[in-house]
Amino acid sequence: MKKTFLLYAGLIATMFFAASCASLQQDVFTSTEENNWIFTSTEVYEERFIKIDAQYQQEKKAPVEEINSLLADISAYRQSTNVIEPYLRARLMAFEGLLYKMAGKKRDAETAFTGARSLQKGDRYVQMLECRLAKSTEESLELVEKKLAVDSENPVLQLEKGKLLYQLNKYDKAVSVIDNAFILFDNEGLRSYRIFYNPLRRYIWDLNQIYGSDSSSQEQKGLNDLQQILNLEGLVKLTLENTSLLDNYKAVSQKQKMPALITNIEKAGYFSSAADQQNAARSSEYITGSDEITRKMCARFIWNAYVRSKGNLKMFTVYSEKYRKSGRTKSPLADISVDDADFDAVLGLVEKEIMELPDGKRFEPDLPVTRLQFITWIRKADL
Amino acid sequence: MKKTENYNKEKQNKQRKQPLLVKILLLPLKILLLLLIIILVWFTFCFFDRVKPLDLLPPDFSIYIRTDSAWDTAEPLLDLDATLIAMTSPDLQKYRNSFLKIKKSKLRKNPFVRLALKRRFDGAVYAVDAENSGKSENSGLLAVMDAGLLSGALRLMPFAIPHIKSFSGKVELSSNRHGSFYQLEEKGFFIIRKNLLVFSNKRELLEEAMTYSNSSLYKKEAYEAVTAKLRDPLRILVNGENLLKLTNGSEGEQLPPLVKSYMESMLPYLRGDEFASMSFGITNNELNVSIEVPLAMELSKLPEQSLQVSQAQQNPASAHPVLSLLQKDSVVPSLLPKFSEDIQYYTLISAGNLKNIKDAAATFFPEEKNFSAVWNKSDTVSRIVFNRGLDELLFSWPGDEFAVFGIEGKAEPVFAVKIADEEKRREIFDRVFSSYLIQTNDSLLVDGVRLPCLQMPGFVLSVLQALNVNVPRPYFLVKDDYLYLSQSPENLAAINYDFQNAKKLSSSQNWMRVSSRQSPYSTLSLYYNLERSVPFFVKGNSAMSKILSLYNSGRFDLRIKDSLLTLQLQASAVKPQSSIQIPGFPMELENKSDALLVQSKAKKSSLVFWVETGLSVNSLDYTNFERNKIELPEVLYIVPADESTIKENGGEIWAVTKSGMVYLLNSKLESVLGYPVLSGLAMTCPPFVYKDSLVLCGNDGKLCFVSHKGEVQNLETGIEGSIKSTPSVSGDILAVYEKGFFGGIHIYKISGSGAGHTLESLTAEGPLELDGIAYGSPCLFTAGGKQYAAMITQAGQLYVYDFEGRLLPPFPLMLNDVFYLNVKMADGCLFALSAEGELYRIALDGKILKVKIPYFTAKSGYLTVCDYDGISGQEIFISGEGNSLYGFNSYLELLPGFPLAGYGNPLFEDLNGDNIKDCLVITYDNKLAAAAMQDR
Repeated sequence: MKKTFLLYAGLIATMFFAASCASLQQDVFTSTEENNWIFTSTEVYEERFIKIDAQYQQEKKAPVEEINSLLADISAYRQSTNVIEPYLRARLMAFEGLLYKMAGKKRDAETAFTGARSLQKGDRYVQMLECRLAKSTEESLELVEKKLAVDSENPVLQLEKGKLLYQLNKYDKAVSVIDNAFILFDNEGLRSYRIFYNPLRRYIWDLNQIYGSDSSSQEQKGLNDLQQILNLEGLVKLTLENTSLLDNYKAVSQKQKMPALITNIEKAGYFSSAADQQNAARSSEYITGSDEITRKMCARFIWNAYVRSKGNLKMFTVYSEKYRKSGRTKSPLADISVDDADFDAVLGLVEKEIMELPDGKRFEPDLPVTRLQFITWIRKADL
Repeated sequence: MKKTENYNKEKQNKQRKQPLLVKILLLPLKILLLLLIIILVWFTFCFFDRVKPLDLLPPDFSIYIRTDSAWDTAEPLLDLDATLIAMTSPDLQKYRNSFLKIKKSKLRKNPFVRLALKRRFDGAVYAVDAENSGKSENSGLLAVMDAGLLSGALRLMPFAIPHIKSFSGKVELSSNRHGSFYQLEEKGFFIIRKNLLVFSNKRELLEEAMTYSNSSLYKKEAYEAVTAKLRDPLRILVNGENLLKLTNGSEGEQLPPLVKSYMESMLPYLRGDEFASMSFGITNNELNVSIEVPLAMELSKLPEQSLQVSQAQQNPASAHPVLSLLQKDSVVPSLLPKFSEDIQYYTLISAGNLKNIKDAAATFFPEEKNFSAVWNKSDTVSRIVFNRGLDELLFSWPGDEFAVFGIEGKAEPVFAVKIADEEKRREIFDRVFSSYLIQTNDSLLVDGVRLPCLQMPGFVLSVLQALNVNVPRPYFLVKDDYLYLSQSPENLAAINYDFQNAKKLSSSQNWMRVSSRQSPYSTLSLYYNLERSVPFFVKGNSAMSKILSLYNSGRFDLRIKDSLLTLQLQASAVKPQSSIQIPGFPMELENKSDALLVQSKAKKSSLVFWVETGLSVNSLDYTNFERNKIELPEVLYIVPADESTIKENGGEIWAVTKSGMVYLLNSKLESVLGYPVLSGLAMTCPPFVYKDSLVLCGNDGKLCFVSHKGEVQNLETGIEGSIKSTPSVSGDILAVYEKGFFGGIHIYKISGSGAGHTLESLTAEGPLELDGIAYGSPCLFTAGGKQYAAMITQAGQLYVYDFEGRLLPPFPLMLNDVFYLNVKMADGCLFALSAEGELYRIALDGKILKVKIPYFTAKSGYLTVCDYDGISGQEIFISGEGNSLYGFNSYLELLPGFPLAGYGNPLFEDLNGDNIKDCLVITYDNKLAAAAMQDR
C-alpha cells in the first residue's frame, strides 16, 4: 500500500516537474515578414503534396518514399522555424495528416486533424483531411457536399468531391466536378492543380467513355489495372466479359481453362489474318506467340470478331480486293502496306470509327495497347 | 359720330368680305376648340371633385403601402437581378412568364403608359375572418389607384367597360347596399369612384371601403402617419398587433415559434397609437432597408394591456430583460473610430454591460435547458477553482462595449472587450493565472510587441487532447482601455500598429458605401463582407437570402433614440455580380442526356427539348419553368420540325428511336395524329430535316424521307460506303461525306415534297476526293455568290471545293494537327478545332490564325456558331472532352466570362428578359445550366 502510494506520488511529482520544465519560458521572436515567408514555404509543400496525391489517386497505391520524404521535410521545417500563426500551423498539420492517411496511419492522421482543426477548422486542407477521415467514401462525399453547400467556390473541396466520385465509379459526375474545380483554380491562379491532376482527369474521362454513369459492375468485369499493357489472356477475357462478340464461347469459358479456350478461339480463326481464315499458314502465331498485344494484333482480332458478328464474311478482304481491282498499289496509310496481312482489318476498323489513326496518317501498328484502350475499341465493335 | 359710323361700316364690310370657304374651314376648328374647352372643363371638374384614398381604406390594416408614383417605384424593379430571383421562387414562378413579358415590353418606353401609371397608389392588407369570408385565406387586400389628372378619363370607363371585348364574360356588374361594383371572375372585385380605381380580393372588404368615410375612423396619430408627405418613394406601415393576427391565422407560412413568442411578449411594449414604418430602396448596386418601431418604454405611455402585465410582475422595467437593453439610447461605439482600414467585418455591441446582455440572452434559452441552474453550477465551480464567483470574474471589470472583427488577410477573428476597471481586471487575471487550471505564457514577441497567451498547463492539455478535446490558446493585448483576444498573434500585432498609424476604416470607400445613410449611433452594428463573414440574415436558401447575397458588403445597425427602435440595412454590391448564373438554374435532369439541346422553330415559342437517352423526350418552357416529358423507349434522336410542319399539324419535334420508329410531337409532347411511323431503317447517324420531311440515313447508303403526313419514301444515293455523320443541308443542296479511304464528298440536289422527292447527283463522276479519312459532315457555305463544300481530313488537309469539283485556291491547305471535327463557317472564315485543343481560323485566302486552349482536348466535341448579340459578328462556342464550354469571337478572342461549365451544343435565348440572348447548356453532370451574357 505504502509502495503504491510512493509510486503514485513519484509519478505525480514527475508530471509536475515535467510540466514545470515545459513551462519554463524563453522569449520567442517573430515578425509579420517572417510569417509571409513561411506562407510561401507552405505553398512549396502544397505543390509537393498535390503531386503525391494525384499519383496516389490514380494508382490507388501510396508512394511511400515520397510520403515519408515530405513528412520528414515538414517536420524538420516546423522544428527549424517559428511557425506560430495558427493558419500556417494548421495547413502544415493538415498536410501531415493527409500524408499519414495515405500511408495507412489513421491514428496519426486523426491526431494531426485534431490539432489542425483546433487551430483553423476553416482551412481548405483541414476540411479535406476531415472528409478523408470519414468512415467510408460515401460518408466522405456527404461531408464534402455539406461543406460545399456553404462554400461552393472552394476548389480544393470541389476537386476532392471529384476524386470521391471517381472512387465511387461515378465517372461522368467526377469529370464534371473536376473540370469545375480546374476553372476555380485557374481563377485563383493556381495552375499546378491542373498540371498534376490532369492525367487523373484524363483517365477518368477514358473510363467514362467506356462505362458512362453505369459503372457499378466494373469490378465484376475484371476491369482493374486498366492502365496495364494487354496480353493475350486479357484480350480474350475482356472481350468475353465486356462484349457479346465471343458469346459462342461464353458457356465453354466457364468450363474450360483459359489456355484451352484460347486454343479453341484460335482454331475458329479469330487470331488469323484475313486471307488465312483457316489458319493454314499458321498466321495466328503472330498473336499467340506474343507476350504483349500491339495495335495491329488488336485490329486483326477485333476485325475477325466484328465481321463474324455481322455475318458477312466477304467483308474480310473487301479493302484489299478493292485496291487490287482499282490497280492502286499505294496504301493510304504510311505504315501499313497494301500487301500487309492486316491491311483489311486496319482500314475497316478505321473507316468504321472503331479504331483511330493517332496522327491521322499512320496506324502505329507496333505500339503496345493498354487494357483500357482495348475495351474502348472492342465495345465500339460490339455496338 | 361720323368716325363711328365709318368704323361700323368698315367692320360690316369686313364681315361681309369673309368668304364662305374660310367660314367652312374655320367651323371644325371652332368645334374642336369647343370640344377642347368642354374636355378641359370636364377634366378640371373631375380633378377637383375627388375622393381621398383614405376614405376607402379602413384603419385596422396590418400592412399599409403607399407610393406617389406607381411607375417610378415599380418600373426600376423590373431590371433588378433581385426581382428575377424573387420571380424564380416556387411561389412566384407561375408569374415569371408575365413578368418577363412586361420586362421586355416596348410599352415601358411609351410616354402615354408612363403617364398613365405615374399615379398615386395606396394598398392595405387586412386580417379577415377566414370562416366569414368563405375562403381558406385569412388576408384581404384593398388597393386604390388615384387617377389624378386623368380622373376625367377614368370616370368615363364605366361607359366603356360593356364595350371592351376582352372584358366580355369576365366582368360582371353586381351591387351591394352601398352601390354597384364589378366582379372580375373569381379573381376579385373592383369599383371606379370619381378619381379612384379600387380593387379588392374580398367582397366584405370592398363593402367596407364603399362607405367612403373610413378616414374619419382613424386616430389622430395614425392619420398623420398615413397622410404624411413621403420622404422615400415607398412607405410601408405596419401595425404589430394586426400583423400578428395575420400571421397567426395564415395556413401557409407560420412564424418560427421563437420569433412568434418573442413578438407576442414584445407586443405590449409597442405603441398602439403609432405604426412601425418601413422604407426601402433597391438598385443593382445598392439595397437600403429601414424599419422604425415606436416603443412605449415609459410606464405612462404603456398601453393598458401591458400595464396589467407589468403590475402583475411588480416591476415593469424588468418585465422582459431585453427591454432593459432597449431603454438605453444608442451611443457612438468608442471602438469604431479606432478601426483601421483593413478591418473587413465587425460586430459591435454597445447595448449595455455584460450582465444585462447575459440576462437578455438567457431569455432566449429554451426552458428545458435550465440556464439558471447551469449558471449556478458554474458559479460554484468558479468559487472552488478561482476563489471568486462568476459574477465577479466576468462582470466586475468589463465595460459596455464588445466587438468581434476580422482583419484583411487573416482568418482568425479578434474579440474586443472594453475595460471599465483596469485595476479590477488585473486583479482578476492575476487570480485566474495563479490557479492550476489557466496559465499565461508571455514568451512571444511579434514585431517587438510582447503578446501573452492564455493556456492550460501541459499536463491538463495532454489529458484533454487524449480525450479529443481542443482548447483554444488565445493571445491577448491590452491597449487603450480595451482587451483584445485572438488565436493569431499577428492580428494583435496588426492592431497594435494599425490602430495608431493606419488609415481609418471610417474613411475607407467600402465602409462609406454602406454607411452613407447610417447614423454613427448604434446599439448593435454589423458590418460584413460576404467573402469573409456571412451574417445571419443572409444564411439559408430562401429567395430573400439569395437576394441579399447579391450585395456582397453591408452594414446592419440597430439603434434606439427617443423610444424609437430603428433597424437599418444598407448593402452594396461592390462589384455588381451581373449574375452570371441565371436564377432558377441549374436544373437537375432526371437521367443521362446526350447533351444536345434543341429549340422549337415555332414562332414565339419558348420551348427547348432534350433527350434522356433511351428513355424520354423532355421539354422546358424557360419563361415559367414548366417541364414536360414523354417516355419513348429506345429514343435516340430529336430534331426540330420545319415551320411548315408546325403550321400544318402542330408537330414541333421529330423523335426517332433506335429501331427507326419516327414520332412527330407537338408542343405538349403529344404524338401528332398519324404517328408514330415505322421507317424500317437501321440508322448510321442522326437524322436531319429537309423542309416538311425528316430524313434518316441507312447503312446501305439509303435515305428514308418521312413526311409530316406520315408518308415514307426510300431513295438510293448510290453511296457504297457508310454515312457516319448527318448530311449537311443548305436550301435544296445536300452534302454527304462517304466515310472511307475510297470515299469523299457527294453533293445532291433535292426536289419534290411529300412522298415524291428526287435526288440529282451533282458529283455523278465521282465524289470530291479527300486524301485521307475525315470526320463529320461537309461544311456548306456561299462566298462571292458561289456555293462551296469544305472538309478537313483527320491529318489536317483542308479542302474547299465548288460544286463543279474544282478546288478553291489556295486550298488544299495543310494544318499540322489532328482533327476529329469538321470545320464550321463563321464571319466568312472557316474554323477548325484540333484534337489537342488548337482552334484555327482559316480565311478563304489561306491566311491562318490560331489559338491554343490549354488542357483542352477534342477527340469528340462540339463546335457551335451563333451570333448571340446580333452586334459584333458571329461567335464560336466549343466544348470538348470535359465540362468546359469556351466562347470566342471570330478574331479568336476569348469571350469574357468563359469558360463556363457546360458540354454539348449551347442554345442562346433571352432567359432573363433583358433583351440579350443568354447561354443555355447541358453540363456533363447532367444539369441544365444557364448563364447570362450581359456585360460580355
